[in-house]
Amino acid sequence: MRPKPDRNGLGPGTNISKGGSRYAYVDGNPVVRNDPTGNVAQIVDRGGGCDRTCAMASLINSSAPQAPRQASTDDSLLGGLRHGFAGFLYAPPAWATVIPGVAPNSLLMHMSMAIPQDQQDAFVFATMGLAAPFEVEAGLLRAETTALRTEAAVDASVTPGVAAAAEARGGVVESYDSFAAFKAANGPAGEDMQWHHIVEQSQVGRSGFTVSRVNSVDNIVGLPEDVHGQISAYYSSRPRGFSTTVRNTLNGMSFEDQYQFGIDVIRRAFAGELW
Amino acid sequence: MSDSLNLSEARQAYAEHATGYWSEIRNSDSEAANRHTEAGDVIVSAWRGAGRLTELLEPLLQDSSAQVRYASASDLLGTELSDRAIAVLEELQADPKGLVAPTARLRLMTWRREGVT
Repeated sequence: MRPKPDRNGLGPGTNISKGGSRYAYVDGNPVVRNDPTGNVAQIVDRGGGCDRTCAMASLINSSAPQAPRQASTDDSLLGGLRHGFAGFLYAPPAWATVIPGVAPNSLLMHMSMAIPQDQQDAFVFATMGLAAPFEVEAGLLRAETTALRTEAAVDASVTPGVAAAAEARGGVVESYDSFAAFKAANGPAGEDMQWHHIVEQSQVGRSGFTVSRVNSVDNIVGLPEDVHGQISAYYSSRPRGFSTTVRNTLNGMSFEDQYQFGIDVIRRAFAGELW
Repeated sequence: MSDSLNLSEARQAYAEHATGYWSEIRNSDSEAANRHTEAGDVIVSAWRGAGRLTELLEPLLQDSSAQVRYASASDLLGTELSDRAIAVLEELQADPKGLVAPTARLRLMTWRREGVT
């Protein structure tokens, strides 16, 4: 049984910062829990042991960012699409034009309708239930590949572990020479959404990271505007005991350490548990 | 009696600024949040100067608010209550919810890295 978001009281476009997690009914984790009775979350029985879902979830949870390589025409996200990429909280409007049944801004989980039944096991749902990474075998969705290429790049940014997994499988983590180039290629984050850098752009100068590393798809994620504002305010503030702002405190730390810190904050936001 | 009252008032003001900081972050207002931090600095500086910082903050290590526990523990690092402060921060950083946890983790990380005593 595929977990579905609880829309009880949460209509389309509901902001996660206001309504909490859509997956609160499974403790925010539809990867390993479901709730067939509607009363209590339970562990999903997938045949015992740590299956592919479990393994992928573990990989996502433990993954460190991978060094990206610049994508070329030949080295496109076709590889990433075949080998796996992360889903988005809401389907970008463009998807509705290429995938029947997917309404603009609907949950990406509806993407499952485009996957043949015998391929359903290839789907792997991500940690927070708000992203839906999945594996797509060669040939599947090939007709949509071109149209989805840009969206796939965006999706890979949501759950960086999936981008890492794609990288490990020979996929690509696409990067850009500037944030403007990223936006030109990927468009806006979505209605009432803003792009958010997990490792901030300012760290290019402060910590010596390359522009392309900071503007790679596994470092940029779309967040609801108010959540983005809260996280940005947090980075700009000086908590008790700090001699400077959170942002400045991160100066000089490794990319991996800054990344893990940023991911920790974002995961809490995605789970509706920022406060 | 007067001294006891001042201690109580200062403790309450400190706790209010500790929680006020997070309220303003939730409002996406970093400047207002920083004003709470600065107000807390004034209190901490005065009581540290009087040699009574631990007396002021020790009870707050057990406050019902994680935000107040974080603030007091963070300000008690490097004092004779450092071990208890570290224990509080370590407990806070394990909380899967809220922004206090990553803040406590970062505070501990930088404090240990800098070797502040």
